[in-house]
Amino acid sequence: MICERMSPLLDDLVDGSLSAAEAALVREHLATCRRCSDEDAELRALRAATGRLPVALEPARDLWPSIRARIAFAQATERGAEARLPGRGQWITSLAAAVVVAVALAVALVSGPVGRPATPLEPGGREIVPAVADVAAVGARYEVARRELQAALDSRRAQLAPETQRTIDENLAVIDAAVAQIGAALERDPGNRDLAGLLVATCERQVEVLERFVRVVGRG
Amino acid sequence: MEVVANLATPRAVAVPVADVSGERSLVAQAQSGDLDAFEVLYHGSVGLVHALCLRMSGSAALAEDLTQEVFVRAWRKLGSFRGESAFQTWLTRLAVNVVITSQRRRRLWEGKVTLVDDLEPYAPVVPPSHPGQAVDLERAIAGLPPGARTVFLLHDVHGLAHTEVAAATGSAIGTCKAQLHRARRLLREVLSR
Repeated sequence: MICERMSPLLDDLVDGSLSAAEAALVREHLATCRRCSDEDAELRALRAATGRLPVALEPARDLWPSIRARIAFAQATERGAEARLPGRGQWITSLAAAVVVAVALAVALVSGPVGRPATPLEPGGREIVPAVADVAAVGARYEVARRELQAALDSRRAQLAPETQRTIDENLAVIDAAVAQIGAALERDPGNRDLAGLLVATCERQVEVLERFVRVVGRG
Repeated sequence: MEVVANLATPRAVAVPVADVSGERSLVAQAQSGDLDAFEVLYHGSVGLVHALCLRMSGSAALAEDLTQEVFVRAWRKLGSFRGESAFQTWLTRLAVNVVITSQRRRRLWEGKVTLVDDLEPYAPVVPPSHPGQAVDLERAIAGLPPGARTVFLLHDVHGLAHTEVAAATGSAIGTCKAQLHRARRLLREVLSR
């Protein structure tokens, strides 16, 4: 067998996907060819090393609260679109759309555009009721991230391109306005689970964006 | 056709029947809207999904975002899971799609935005007898061209068969095999330096 044709067959031999007859032919060649024999040994060593790599790598933090919030956001958006109450459904949908646009713009600044907002859930999706602790916890985290970003921006503002500063400021204004509007509405209607879910989801998402902003500004 | 015994280290461990039926039950509950059941599925597979997102993207921050996106999308698309493959195989395919789509979007913006992340270091499990080898291999994998890296991760690290890799990447089996061959050759070259 010619060496040039051997290389892909060595992959198959190591993977165990050759027939018995094919494997015998390859092994016969390996017995007489130093180059291919060395390549076979290297492949097996690579496979062994790869086999020792962990298949699972846990993230540094528990992502479930954020995932849950995003699912809740999608549900809230869907319910807002379906709401029959005069004015409220439309308001929620418009606000949700504005928030999504603001978040998309903010994320686009640092990592490229995100996909479209989550499409409505399948019918029968369970309603997510955020606990009071969820709203309070995410609100606190939002405040911390917001303060950190403001401090980072203030200390490095002179080093940022004017367009970057302007974009960050404009997006922060939209984010702040969206959170404030949802919060104000929730104060007027504290039992509104749609708004609570929307606030949790919005703040979760925006905290992630703000934390990314901080890293961008921090690295100059 | 008789196939020679597989000498490669098996990556896919046989799952006891009880675990498989337990997983099926959880999936069925989640498909009917039970988010608690989906959370259990999440905890059982987040490490796998995150590892794939991390190694494919090369960024810890991006991997977290991508991992979240995978599970949000999985919740939305649960109704399309028919049980023809293992739930984690279905999830792996979804994860590949999410990462590849994200990479395409990012390429559109290269040069127009300031990208956030350098390749952030992370600490894989390193066998005591080879303190540097696992880290070298992880870095070598991160340096592969995207197509070769994806195929290598799916086949050699995650243990998917060529047919499954082809389905996940939307490529022909022959193309996947060529990419795998290329990945292994490049890795051997890098690691032998």
